[in-house]
Amino acid sequence: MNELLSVISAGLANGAALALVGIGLVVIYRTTRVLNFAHGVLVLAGAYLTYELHVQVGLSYYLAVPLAVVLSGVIGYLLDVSVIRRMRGRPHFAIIMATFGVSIVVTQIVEASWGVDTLQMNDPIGTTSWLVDPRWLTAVLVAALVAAVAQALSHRGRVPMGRIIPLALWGVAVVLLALTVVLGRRTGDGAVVSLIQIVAVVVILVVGVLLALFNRSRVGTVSRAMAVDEEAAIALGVSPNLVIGLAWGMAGALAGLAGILLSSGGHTFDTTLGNVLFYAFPAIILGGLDSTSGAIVGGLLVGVTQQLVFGYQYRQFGGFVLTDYLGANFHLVFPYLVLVVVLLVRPYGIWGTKEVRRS
Amino acid sequence: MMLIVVLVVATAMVLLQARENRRRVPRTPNDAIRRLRGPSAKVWVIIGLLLFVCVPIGTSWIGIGRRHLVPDLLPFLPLSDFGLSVLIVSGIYAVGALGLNVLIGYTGEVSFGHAAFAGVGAYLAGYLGGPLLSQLATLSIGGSVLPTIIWLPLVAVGGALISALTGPFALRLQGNYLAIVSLAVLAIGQQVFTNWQRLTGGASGRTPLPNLGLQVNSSIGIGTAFRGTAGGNVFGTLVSRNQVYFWMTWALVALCCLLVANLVRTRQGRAMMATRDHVTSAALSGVGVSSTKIRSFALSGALVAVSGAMYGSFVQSVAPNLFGLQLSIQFLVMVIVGGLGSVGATVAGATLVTALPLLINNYGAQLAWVPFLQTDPTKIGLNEANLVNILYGLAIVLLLVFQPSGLAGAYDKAKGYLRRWPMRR
Repeated sequence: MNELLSVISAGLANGAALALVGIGLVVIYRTTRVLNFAHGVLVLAGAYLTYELHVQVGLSYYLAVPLAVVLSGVIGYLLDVSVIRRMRGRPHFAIIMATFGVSIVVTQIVEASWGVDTLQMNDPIGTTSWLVDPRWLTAVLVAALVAAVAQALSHRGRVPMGRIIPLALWGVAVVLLALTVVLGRRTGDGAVVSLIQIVAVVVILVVGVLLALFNRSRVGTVSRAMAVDEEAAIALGVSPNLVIGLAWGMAGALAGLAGILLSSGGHTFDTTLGNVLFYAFPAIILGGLDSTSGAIVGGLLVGVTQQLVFGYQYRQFGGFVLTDYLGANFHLVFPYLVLVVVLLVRPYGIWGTKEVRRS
Repeated sequence: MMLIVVLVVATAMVLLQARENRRRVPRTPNDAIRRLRGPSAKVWVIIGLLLFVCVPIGTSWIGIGRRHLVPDLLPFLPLSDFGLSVLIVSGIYAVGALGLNVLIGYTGEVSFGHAAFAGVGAYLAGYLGGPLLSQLATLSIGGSVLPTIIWLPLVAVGGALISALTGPFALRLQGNYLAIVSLAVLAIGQQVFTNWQRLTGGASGRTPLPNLGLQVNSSIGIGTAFRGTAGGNVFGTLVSRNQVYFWMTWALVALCCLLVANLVRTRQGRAMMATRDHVTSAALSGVGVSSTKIRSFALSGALVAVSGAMYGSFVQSVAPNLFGLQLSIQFLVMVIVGGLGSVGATVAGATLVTALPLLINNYGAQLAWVPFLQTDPTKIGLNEANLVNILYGLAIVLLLVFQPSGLAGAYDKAKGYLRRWPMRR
């Protein structure tokens, strides 16, 4: 039980980073219909800029992080201005190829600037971890799961007071999490939960709330209008350059944050960190390409399932060992298998809007 | 050898002339306009055949019998063994790019998974044509290896079958959803190639691959520039390994070009294009959209598998890391840089995209003038490999941004400009 809970919380932390990357991909996809293969570069930007500012320059970590997030946002915006904006209206996969070219170039620049060796952040979060009472942790997870299901149902309008109830349930989950951190700690026996995992989960919750608020704001409404019907939005006076640039900036900042989460907390990192993109893709497809809440749920789902496979692949289950049949590192493929199965049932993901073909 | 070349050229000319004569009847009477059209297809085919024969031989050999028949006509061509290998790899990739062009350019579906099919082709080649066959006792036919003429089509069939398996997903999904699911094909391919060790040799791959039926001996090639290592015997003339691969590859490219270019003129090809342009209208007009898509996947998979098999055969090894996302992206870039839905442009794009990094890499020593270049490998800094990759990436981005219609568009533009020359549009 303890081990299962540790694995799940590690999976949630990874999933939070995937979700951040995924939200950025979704935001870009909604405004421009482009899958950004250069997103891994923005993840790298977050990690390496924090490293530069914190370790090399010597700034405080808490100052370096927001600076790096903002700078990754600026890099995202610059990508739009320099390349994507010039290709507007071209076939989508031509733009996808261009983003891939950009990712080659920037990855090489990162390698030239910081080398290919693994680096360490030396951040104050460090490897701090606690032993937590499994009952508390189970309660938190169950509450979060119930809240997520309620949210999913309310998304389809199947819950009375649709907006209030999931919100209340999320509140319960957060309070339980806080109580767990304060009261649930044990000394002898318990599930291992590290500080960075809690930070990651809190970050994704905060980002989720901010996104919900953003979607209600004027700029958010305008962005959604662009996503629904670009021509109509432009005709109503929306500046596409502004909205799309903003989406890229936002995506860059979130990806930078994901990069920081993945490189802090005692993790080592190198330029392969950008490959996290290829697990964010199944995550956003699971959730539905154009839904940010779908990206969060998809990200967490992929993170947890991946970690479960990773944690248990060498375990004996009555003489049956996973790796004997499916090979080592099966966790790298597993999200894609889940993806294939889900898409065969729901071709537009769990949350995605079905494209209606009028022709 | 010489005789065969002359015969081939002559036959081609006769055939083309016959076709020309047939076409002549309904032709426009306006001779002036015709004269302005530029070199006809006949001229291009002759130039192509001449290049096909001469490039791997160089200038001196042609001149043996009849005193510089093609005097230093081709001095600018990369007539070194390395240059030849660049052209071979270009040709091999061109076959795969042509396959992907069927899918993207004509059917309008995007796939990132085709590198996996190239891998399947390479491993299949290893088993069907190579000494590996005798290791798989059940498949062994008297312990001997199959000749090229048999294993290459078998590889194509295998690639088509595997590729058609992804068809059902293609029918259910559209656009970007399909693109990402095709990443799943890639991931699963990598997993299988790496972990099914009994079959694929694991991460280090398989080494003995079929060698196009060449006896490995250390003979020298015909012509002056080629002192290839492993050579072979073609009609009693010693040729170098690279020369054989060049002719084999580019003959295959020509064959595939013909196949794809003619496909567009058939019912099947028109069905593909109708599906690409408007699914609903196509279905209403009686096109079986599902079967068309699956056939398109199968054909592209077959060509890509052949390409992978040829590549494995040329470099004499297969390993999982050869068939990752990098290769898929390379195929896609070739198609787009060349120009969608055009056969010649795809071949040109493949040559450009393949040759660019290889050439930059080879002439890397001349990059010493670049500032910030870090030559000390122990220090962090912009080293040569970084620079090569940056130039490659930049070339892709710039081509895509500034030349949207690809090389085909650039060619058309240049041709139009020259034709109207003193006048503006």
